[in-house]
Amino acid sequence: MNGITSILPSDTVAQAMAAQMKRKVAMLRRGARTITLSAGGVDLHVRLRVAPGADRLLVTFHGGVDRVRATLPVFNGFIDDLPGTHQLSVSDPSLGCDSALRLAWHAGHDGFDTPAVLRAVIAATIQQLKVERTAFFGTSGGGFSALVQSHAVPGSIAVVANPQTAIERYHPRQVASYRAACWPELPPDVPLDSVTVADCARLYAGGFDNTVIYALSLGDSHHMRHHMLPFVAAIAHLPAAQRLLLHTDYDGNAGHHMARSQYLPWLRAALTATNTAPASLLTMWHSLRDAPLRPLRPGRRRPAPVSPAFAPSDLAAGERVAAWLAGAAQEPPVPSHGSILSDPTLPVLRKEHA
Amino acid sequence: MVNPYRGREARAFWSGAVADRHCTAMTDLWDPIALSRHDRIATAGSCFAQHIGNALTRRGADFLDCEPAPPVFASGDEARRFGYGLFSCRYGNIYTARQMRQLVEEAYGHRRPNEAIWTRDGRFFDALRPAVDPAGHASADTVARARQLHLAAVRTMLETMDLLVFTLGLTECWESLLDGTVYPTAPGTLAGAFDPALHAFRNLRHADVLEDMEALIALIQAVNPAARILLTVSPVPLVATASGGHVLPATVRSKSILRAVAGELADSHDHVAYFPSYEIITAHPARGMFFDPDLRTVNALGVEQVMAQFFSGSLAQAFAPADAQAPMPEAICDEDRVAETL
Repeated sequence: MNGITSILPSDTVAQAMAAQMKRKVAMLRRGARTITLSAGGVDLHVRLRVAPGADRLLVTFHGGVDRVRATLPVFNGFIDDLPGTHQLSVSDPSLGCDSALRLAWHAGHDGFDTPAVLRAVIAATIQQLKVERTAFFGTSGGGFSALVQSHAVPGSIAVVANPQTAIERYHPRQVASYRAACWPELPPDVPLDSVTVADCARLYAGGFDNTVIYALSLGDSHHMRHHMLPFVAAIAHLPAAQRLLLHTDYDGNAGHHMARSQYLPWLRAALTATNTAPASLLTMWHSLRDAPLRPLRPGRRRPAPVSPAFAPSDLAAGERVAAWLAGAAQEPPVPSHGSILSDPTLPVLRKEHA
Repeated sequence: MVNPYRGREARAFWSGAVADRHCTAMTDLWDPIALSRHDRIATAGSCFAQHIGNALTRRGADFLDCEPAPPVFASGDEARRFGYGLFSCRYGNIYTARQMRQLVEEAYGHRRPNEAIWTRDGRFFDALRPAVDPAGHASADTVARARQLHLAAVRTMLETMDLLVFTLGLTECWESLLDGTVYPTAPGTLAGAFDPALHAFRNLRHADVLEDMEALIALIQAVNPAARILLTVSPVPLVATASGGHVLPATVRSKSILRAVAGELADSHDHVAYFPSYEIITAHPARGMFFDPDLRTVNALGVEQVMAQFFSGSLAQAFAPADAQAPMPEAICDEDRVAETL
């Protein structure tokens, strides 16, 4: 391990924090709360919003932090209007290693295996909340964290926007700051990937059981060349590559930028599609977009006839409800025996109304 | 000579309790019921009941949602547009006591409505809650399937709730001449078609409402003997009357009947109480200030005043406004659409 204090024997820390998380989640029936998990001399802060009756979980990771303006812990805000979804926002504990450190990718530091701890904490949350579908979300550095953690949850969905896919392919100054603050004894010629999960291309090239929705602004040339293309190349040979949904667009802004309106429909689709198959995600995303695309040649393809009496958005949502109803668990039939119906002491409607 | 008013509480006298106070400064308008954050609270009734449910939720009450939105909506607002999250089940607005009674009877197999599905422009609607699916469904089977799930949710609610907050809204309704089923909206407004051979206007009288409510209370007690009921009367006037008269006296007649029945039920049942939201909003000490300029829509100040009175006394401490900054969603009142579809 190159003289570095091992972060791997963190099972005890991870299990301790997972157990704490389980207890604290069990006590939160609804609403939002900041939860602090403590073990191994490190505090891990998360914010959890519990939605009664929900069976979906959205886990979000922040990216780079302006340390002049922000104080720790920092969290992504909860996303409103996600019905039926619990939300968990994770603050990166490694930012505490240096007051000037802006980004640590939730990749841990010497003595603290953040990826392993998060795997355990998120698994405990999923179990305690009885979650049936989990989506991981992040932009930029948070996208890297979402890719790493989603990989550990088979069947989950990572929704990432302009993410880094390998820490050491990011801007050298940021990488150097992270190495200096979090891995001070790691020799410069030893890659970060030897001490933590630092390369998603390598991670995913070994196979993956999750789905990745990867949104990229074509104005962000650095993230296209140094992060998207290597990631795509690394997994292109895998059958699982069919579970990569790659969305590129350009909203007129060059650089590391993406409007919320670009990725929010994907996030909603990930949480509301009938299932996590790419076809289902695409169908839902398309139905959630503000305006459907026009045919290339007007008149050649006619849109499906719709009743002018109803708003297209109502019809689309109605179809989604119908699809959900078709798959909903069969309810017991309305009782006709042994119920209050057979109780002669109870009033019934007058004959003309009964 | 003994004066029976001597020694009464200050609130018993108009001058001190009303005349010398601003209407927002009146106190002791009701005797708050015993309620804790652990009590499971269900809501049903006219659209004004949504305000009470929203306020209870914001104050940390255990608001029962037995028919939560499936994860298919793009937003919470869209889910609400489809009738989810407005009340404890997705029944939409229940305007009359008879509608509520018939719903409970149907949930437990007492009755099966003869005309339960309406159509409009080739789409199918649940006639007993036509507003919850704004565009209906492509098949009658889907409507029937949704109703079975709905009735199961209603049973769950009735059997698990500790308190039902029920807001009486109207006496005027439209019923099926086939079996007496009453509908929340007239056939031919949101869906369906009005047929004078099959449908008739009915203005429920005091005796009708009282009988329906007594039957409802008995039905609830049969499945959940510990459940309590809190009655309110909606202060929202009729959007239109089919009685043939002027809408103002029609409104006063309707609300007077509902108010009288609610009071009688609270007097005659220990587990039934009445909260005077109707009086707070409509009585003349408020001089109409709690209505929008249309004199029908209750404004935010009115809702706030009702809730301030509701969470008074022991309830003020039990339900401290922890999340009072969150905006209250608008109530959805589908009876407004009567005028839209004329």
